[in-house]
Amino acid sequence: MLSKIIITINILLFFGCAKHTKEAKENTPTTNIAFNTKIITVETISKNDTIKAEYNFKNIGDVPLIIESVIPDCSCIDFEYSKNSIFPNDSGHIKLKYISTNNYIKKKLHTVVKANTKSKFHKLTLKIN
Amino acid sequence: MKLYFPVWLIIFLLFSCKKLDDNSKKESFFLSKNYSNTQLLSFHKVKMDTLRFEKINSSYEGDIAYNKNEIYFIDFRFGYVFSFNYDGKYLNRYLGIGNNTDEINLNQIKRYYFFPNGMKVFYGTKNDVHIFNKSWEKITEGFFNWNSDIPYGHAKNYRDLNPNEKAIYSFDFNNTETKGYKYKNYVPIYSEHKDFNGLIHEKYYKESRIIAEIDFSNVYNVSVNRILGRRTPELSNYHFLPHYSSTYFDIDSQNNFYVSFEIDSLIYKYNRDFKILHTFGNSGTNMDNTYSEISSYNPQLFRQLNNKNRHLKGLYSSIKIFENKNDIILFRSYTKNDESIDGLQVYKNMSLILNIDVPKKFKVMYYKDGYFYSNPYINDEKEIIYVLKFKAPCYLR
Repeated sequence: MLSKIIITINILLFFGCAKHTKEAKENTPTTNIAFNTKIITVETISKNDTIKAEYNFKNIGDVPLIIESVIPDCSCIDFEYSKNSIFPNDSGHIKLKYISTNNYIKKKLHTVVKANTKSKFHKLTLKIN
Repeated sequence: MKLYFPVWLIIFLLFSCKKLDDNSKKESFFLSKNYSNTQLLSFHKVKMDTLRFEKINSSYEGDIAYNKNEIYFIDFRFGYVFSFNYDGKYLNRYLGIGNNTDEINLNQIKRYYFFPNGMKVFYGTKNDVHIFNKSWEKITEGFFNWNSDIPYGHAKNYRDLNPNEKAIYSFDFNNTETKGYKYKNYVPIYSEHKDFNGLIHEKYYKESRIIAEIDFSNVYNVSVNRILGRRTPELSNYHFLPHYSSTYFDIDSQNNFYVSFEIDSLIYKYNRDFKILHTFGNSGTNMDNTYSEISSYNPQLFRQLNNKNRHLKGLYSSIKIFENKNDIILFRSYTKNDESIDGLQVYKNMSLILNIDVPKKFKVMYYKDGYFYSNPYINDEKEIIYVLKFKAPCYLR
């Protein structure tokens, strides 16, 4: 009898959690983000040069903006970003640092930003002429 | 004497057979009757129409997959799959990078294949595979089982490995072509093992395998069943060309392979066990066949040459076949020494019947209602995706 009760509770808990997760996903408040630019172009670089690029953005929605993740093209890119919630009309930044450690330099480097925005993903481009 | 003679004879026969076997082993991948033939029809250009897709919120990096009613754009960076109708109107969006059951849990899509039964598979960057059903719900995710005693990624710790050792190889992510037959995927492979790579090892060009057969019949244990084929002997004329050693292929309804190599004008037809059946094929026109060689262990030079002027070098690429009653129509793309035009060859039952000018990087991907459809053309800064299509002449329908 006890085992039946435990199984029933487990099933209830399982379905309860599953539903909760689904609802949480659907109810996550989203906002809008406006980048000043998504493409930064730099002049020709050579081996061991360091490039720094800063992408600024503004929360133009009604709820706090949270940057959930930053995924650069490769481990050759270091990054830092505004980690706290950014309130409506406030601004934040994402800074990228690329060190060209070999003679072969990519012409375009991309970084994907995930945020609680209506468009969940944003692509930032670092172009090297 | 009566007793010794047969023993001597047997030994002799054994050795002569052994020698024969070695030779046939070396050459059996390429020797076959050459059916090259030309019955060129007299036109060189086709009128291309553009099918432009509605604007979407995408990374604008990815590829197109066609089916009967919809065209999909697979967004490699955001992990989305967008569907459109054949007028380019946006219909729906699926997946996206994330951990939920309707999302895809990877950093970047590197390769994909949509099975005819609706199952969809996506390859990640770390030997990972992600499988969804026809309703875009996650079935499972995991890692490819390479069926080797050596764990994936550990082959570098071993010396003198046999070229048939699967653990030496990786999927060729510069060549994302993936073909299927029933529950199998076929994917181009290469090796960068320090004892067995295209930069410095002659043996690599003679013995490295070119295609992995991946079995999805058990989605919970997706395994590399076999590694198949050899690189074209044409590569052995150079010292070396790892940057032009990719393989392109397609598979017909009998599981026969039609294989093309970048610097070889021939097309090789193999059966399902990769036994050579026929060769055929003609050279393209206006091709720059001067190739820069690499003769030292220099991965940076490899990357430079791999990108430099590739669009102008004389290279054969994508193969696509269509079966029409008893005919096999085969399209093969190649690069011309021209800034705006490439070449497209059309073979009907192994005879070259058309050799036409097409826009740069053009390849045929799909046939529907009298039209052949191309690969996508993408401008990620202007956020434009379109494909080209041309009306099939009556003799290709």
